[in-house]
Amino acid sequence: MTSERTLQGALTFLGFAISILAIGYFAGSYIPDISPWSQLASLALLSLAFAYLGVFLKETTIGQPFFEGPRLRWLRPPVVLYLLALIGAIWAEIVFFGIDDMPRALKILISLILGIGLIVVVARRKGGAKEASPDSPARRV
Amino acid sequence: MKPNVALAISIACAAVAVGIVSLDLAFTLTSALEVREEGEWATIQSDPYSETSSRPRSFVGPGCAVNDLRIRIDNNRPIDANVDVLVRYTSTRGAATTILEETWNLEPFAERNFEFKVPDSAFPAATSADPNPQVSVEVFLAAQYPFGTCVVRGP
Repeated sequence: MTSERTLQGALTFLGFAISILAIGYFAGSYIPDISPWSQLASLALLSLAFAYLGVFLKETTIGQPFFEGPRLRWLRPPVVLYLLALIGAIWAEIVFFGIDDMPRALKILISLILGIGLIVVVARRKGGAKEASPDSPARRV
Repeated sequence: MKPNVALAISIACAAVAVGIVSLDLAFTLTSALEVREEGEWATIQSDPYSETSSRPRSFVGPGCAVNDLRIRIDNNRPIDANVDVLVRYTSTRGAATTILEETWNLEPFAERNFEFKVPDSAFPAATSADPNPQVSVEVFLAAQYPFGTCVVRGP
């Protein structure tokens, strides 16, 4: 049973690896040849696509860990997709800094607003989720 | 968020990203350095060219056996394009000589080309140290960004 699960996990991992390599090859082949604004838009959209695909897979059977065992339980398809979304977003940020049409100060300002805004939004959502959990002190009245 | 909504957003984002890349690649400026071989123009080097690119692309073409050359630019976009074109040649023992220095205004979906030869006078006399004098032809698109070069063998 364990070996069968390992084989299933390995094949699923291989499927993901092949698909991700294909997408990476597409990105590496064509994205450098297009204009910077198109690069930025396509990288941002691909990052969102990966992130939302991870959200979808989290609720499915494919969202289970690839392999059994305590050391590799973290390696799940949603985690891989979130990491790819992260890489895409960082690549988009680097492309954004390389755009000549915009003043540098404005690029820095936009990036800071985006980064700090992201941190604040996530922190507030986490705080809200904590308050709503059954173990939170606010609920134990 | 419902899983189906997440999947729909993911597919939509991916489709739009692929669409943007495809459209940008289709509607672009392409340029080519060509050489005439047996009556037909053959491409030495071609490139998608971005007017706003800040990263110059430099290509070194193979040595040319003949001296009929052409630079061709295609504006595959629905808007006008202005391209600064500079063509010059440099012999191994001389200064650079400019053949063409112009700004081409290309209408939407228009093509323009410039045929040129390196004159025999550009080739220095053969010596024992340099028995096969050559001339390097350089093509620049937009400021100093070198697009392509090729080496032309002497007569």
